[in-house]
Amino acid sequence: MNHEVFTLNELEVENFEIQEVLRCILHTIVFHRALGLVRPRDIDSELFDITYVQCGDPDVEKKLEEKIDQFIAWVEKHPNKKSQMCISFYEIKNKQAAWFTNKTERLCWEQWFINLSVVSSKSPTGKSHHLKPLAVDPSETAVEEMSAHRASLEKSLREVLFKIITLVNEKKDHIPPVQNQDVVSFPYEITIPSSSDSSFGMDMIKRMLQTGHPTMLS
Amino acid sequence: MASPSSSHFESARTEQIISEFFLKGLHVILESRVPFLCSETHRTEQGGLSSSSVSRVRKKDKWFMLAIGECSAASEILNVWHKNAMDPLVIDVVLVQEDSSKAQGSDKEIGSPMKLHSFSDTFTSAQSTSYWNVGEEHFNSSSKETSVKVLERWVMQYESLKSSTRDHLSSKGRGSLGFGETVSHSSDDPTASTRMYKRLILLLRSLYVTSRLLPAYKLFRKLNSSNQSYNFGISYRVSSFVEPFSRMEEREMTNFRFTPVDTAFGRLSLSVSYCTVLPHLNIEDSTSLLPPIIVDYVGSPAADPLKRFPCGSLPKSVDKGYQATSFPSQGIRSSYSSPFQRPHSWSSGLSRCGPPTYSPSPPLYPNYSIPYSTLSDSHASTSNVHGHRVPPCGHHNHDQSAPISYRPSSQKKGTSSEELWLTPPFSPSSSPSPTNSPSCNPLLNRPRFGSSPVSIPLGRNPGCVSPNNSDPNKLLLPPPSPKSKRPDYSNRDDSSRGHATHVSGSQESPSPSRGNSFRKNDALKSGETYIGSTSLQTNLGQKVFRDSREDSGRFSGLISSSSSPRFGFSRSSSRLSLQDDLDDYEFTCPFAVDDVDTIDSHTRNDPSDGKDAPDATLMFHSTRKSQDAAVGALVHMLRTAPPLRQDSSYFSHSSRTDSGTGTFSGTGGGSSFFTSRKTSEALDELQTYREMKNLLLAQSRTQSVTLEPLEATDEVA
Repeated sequence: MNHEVFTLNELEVENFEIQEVLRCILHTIVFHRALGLVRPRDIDSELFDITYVQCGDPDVEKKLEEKIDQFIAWVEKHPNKKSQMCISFYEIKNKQAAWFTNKTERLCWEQWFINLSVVSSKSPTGKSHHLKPLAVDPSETAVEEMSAHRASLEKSLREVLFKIITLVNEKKDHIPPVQNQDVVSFPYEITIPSSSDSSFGMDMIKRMLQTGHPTMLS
Repeated sequence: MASPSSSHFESARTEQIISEFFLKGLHVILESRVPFLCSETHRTEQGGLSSSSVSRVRKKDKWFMLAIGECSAASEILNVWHKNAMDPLVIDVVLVQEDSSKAQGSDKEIGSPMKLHSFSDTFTSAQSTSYWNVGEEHFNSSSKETSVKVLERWVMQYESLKSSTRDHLSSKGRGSLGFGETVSHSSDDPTASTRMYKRLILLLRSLYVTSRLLPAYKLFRKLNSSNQSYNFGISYRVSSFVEPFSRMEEREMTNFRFTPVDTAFGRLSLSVSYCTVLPHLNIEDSTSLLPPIIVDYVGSPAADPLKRFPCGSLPKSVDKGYQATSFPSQGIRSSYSSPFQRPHSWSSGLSRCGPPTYSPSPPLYPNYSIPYSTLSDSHASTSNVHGHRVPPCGHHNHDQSAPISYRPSSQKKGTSSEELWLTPPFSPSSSPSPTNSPSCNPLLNRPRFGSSPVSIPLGRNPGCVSPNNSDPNKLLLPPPSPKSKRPDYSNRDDSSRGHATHVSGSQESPSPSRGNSFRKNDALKSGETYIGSTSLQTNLGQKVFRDSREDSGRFSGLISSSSSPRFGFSRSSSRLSLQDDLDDYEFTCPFAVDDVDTIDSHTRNDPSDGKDAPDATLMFHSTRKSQDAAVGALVHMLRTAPPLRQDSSYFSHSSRTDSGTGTFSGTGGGSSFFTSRKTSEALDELQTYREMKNLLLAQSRTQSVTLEPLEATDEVA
């Protein structure tokens, strides 16, 4: 079975935008992997003029929210850093039972890397260090910058979502058979940078050793 | 080599899956573009599916594991389209916009012109392409010009493999059709259909997400959720012919192609061309261009009865299934003759026969629906070649109170026009005015807020003013202070206002509760002192009052503490006005008759009172008179009418209505009614009263010596 790794384009976001950006992306990915019977929910983004789709499973929503909150907490501790969130889908396989154990193996068959570059806020009332003391009207300039940033981010976010749709449609052979009737048909895990480990890559290496699959960065 | 039977079985199965995909795909597109077209969808029931709810999902809704309800419009379309399944299913989402600047007869379209071919019955022919459209006439006859622009074009097509190619590929096992996914062409592979189904699930998921990401979705949401009337609308056009775009349109369009899904018997492809930038829409209130909506407002006397889309009223040009799709020009003309006369008619694709089930407040825009024929080969009467509003079946969460009437007043003719302007059914529960709900105006539901004036008999006051008191006599109690009355008003805003307005002109309440409220209201105006006194009583002897009977306990408590109830009443008027926590209907009137008896007993039991001489009796009677006078003064103040009782010996200044400005004279010769007094001042006054009482009692004792025989007689009695 192939192990597909999809790396999405990096998005430059501000702290308060992280949550909505991750919601759009994660729910879009999960919706495409929720091959169980779903009743989709159309959610209007709070910050962007984007409507994304949730699979409607409250457990999934809860789990995603928790991970997003953890990610935001990590970002707050490590400001102005590039960060990455990874969502991995697994397949549970029963290994050949040893003479005294019956071990199940979790095989990762797909990973999505969400790259975010968190920048500080440049709002008029923000605490940005880049705020220039303008003689004219700093607030208007900052508002314009914010609007431009917001529009640019929204456009980039749409591109990312379309990229997800394209990748989902292009690569289908690696999807394992559905073995349950859960909404999200495959076990998944969201990995965020560890707060205790400044090196996000270390976590990934650990996971690679656990799963036994080398990471192929595309 | 696949056996013929299994191959045939797989082929049939594949065709069924493909058919269901087309149906579901069309459903997804239409329900995200055309308002209220597929109202049976899941939109009102969004959310996850629990294990228990899964079983309740209809079998048909489980296709591709996407429970989005059903769309009869899509079903009807495909009922006809399937006759020529090899042709692509082209769905054009068009923006129809009012354009009054263009002259009649000129090219009125912004984008590609509408193909104005007369419909032919060649649709049944597999070799010909059909194009559902509308005749030219309607453009010319339209009083308002409309511009049509294709916002999106969705193309779904299933290209069936030729049998020769299929056999060739199957003999090789696996193969590729050149691009797209490799697929097992062996019809013997039992997993082939499973894989195909899974891929179609993913494709449908992508279609669903994409439909929400494209720019036209914003327009749809705006039309779907707003009660405003716009000068534009969204409709759709389904055909089996891919009409080429003009150069200008091509420049504006962006193409997104989904990865085709190969099957053992063909390839399913899906693509969308969409405008990346929506045309500028002047979102304005177009009511000025239209006849008064109120005329047709549901519930108004001038409103015509809503006419449903009559099954049998459609043009008789429909003979057979597909011919039903031909749109009669006349009907179209009439439909377009007043697209702007019916701003609340909104374009859609199909109409359905049968009684509309629900009509939420629609996005009010003219019905420009591009002719999309409603298709029904078995129900000719149901076909409506011109897109118009499909009466939704399900519920919608729209506000139903918007004045919606889709019937233009000018539309009196032609079933075709009625088709187009089919008024969506209003739900039976919708009312013309949302404010008429009982919750908004409980006053209307409160008979006690009557309007007939009520006279307040005096001297017959039971203690309790309870709304549930069935004793009319208890209505005689003076109303509480305005502020004590406030809880009622706050709970029923309209009722309170109505109550206030009804005070002066209130009539005999048919129920005790009504009278209670009314009489209380009387006190609001004229009985500030009255109320205040009660308030004072409550304030001062609240514990005492409440410990005893609700009615007279308070009063009796007060009387026992004050020898000059009148002062107490007058001075407590302001206090009562400040008492928000008084229970209006349990408010005890100090002037209750029962209290009088209690007072009598109290005074008699009081040792000091026990020596009452005739002076004490006179005192008692004078007290009683003062109570009545206070009542009368209150009523007078409320009504600004002649006082009920002309006992002005103690209340010569009772006509004063100014609140909070009077001063208590401290004598029995006059009193003023206060609406606001500080507690401390009231307490001071009470203290003064007590002193006066003691003084009077002392005086009475001196006289009791001469009156002892009389007292003994009274006591025995």
